[in-house]
Amino acid sequence: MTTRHLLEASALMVLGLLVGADASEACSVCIDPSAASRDAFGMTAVVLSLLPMALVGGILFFLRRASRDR
Amino acid sequence: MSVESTAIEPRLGRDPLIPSAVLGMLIFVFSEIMMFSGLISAVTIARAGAAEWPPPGQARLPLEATAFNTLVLLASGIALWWAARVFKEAPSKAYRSLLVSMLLGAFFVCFQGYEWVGLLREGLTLTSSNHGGFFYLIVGAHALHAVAGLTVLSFAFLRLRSRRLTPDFLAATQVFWFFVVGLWPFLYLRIYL
Repeated sequence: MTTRHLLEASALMVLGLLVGADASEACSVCIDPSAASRDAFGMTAVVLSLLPMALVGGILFFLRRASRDR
Repeated sequence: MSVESTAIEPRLGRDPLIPSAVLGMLIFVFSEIMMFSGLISAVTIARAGAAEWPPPGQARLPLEATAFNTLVLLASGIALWWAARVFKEAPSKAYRSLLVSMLLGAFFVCFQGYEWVGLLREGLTLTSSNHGGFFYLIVGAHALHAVAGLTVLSFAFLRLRSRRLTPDFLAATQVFWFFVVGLWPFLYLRIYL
């Protein structure tokens, strides 16, 4: 497959996505009219995003401190 | 032709910053923290979307009795912390603290079981409502971890009795039990209150 073929296939795929894109409504909270639900969803999304970084950051901090104390 | 030794010399005098057992347990605990965070997120969103929580007609959770049980579990964690501290200086003297930690942990699990029987009699089941579903799923998952923690504590206790308990094994046991103990207050605040 040449580069031109790859570009054509990619362009066709992007065009298809642009034409065929629609709201999937897969998230029950996104279509919930309740502000409390949306707030809870946003808050928990932030917590779940930051938690892994905090855990890994915590262990790196511990290792750095242990390494310095040695 | 002389044959030179090709044996690789081991790197001596360089202990790992974290023992392998502890690091492995930490990685496992991190994955468990993410699992419980997902469950807590789910119940938070469900509560926010509900007009009334717990739903009308559903059994109320025993707040005071569980608060007492929370203190028992926290005391178990303190007993294990003390046992590890004593173990460093005189391993044979850690026997009593470790036993106290195990007994308090076992009391917590048995008391939870007793509460569950009462709630089931009042009609709160896994399928009675979202409230029941979340309660049994999350508290049940914690109870499973508590039972697993007690099993590991029992191993540590038996090893201590036969003088085969290593500091690394005790440290890994501590990590897991502190996770079980530390997680519970969050679950109590989110599920019971």
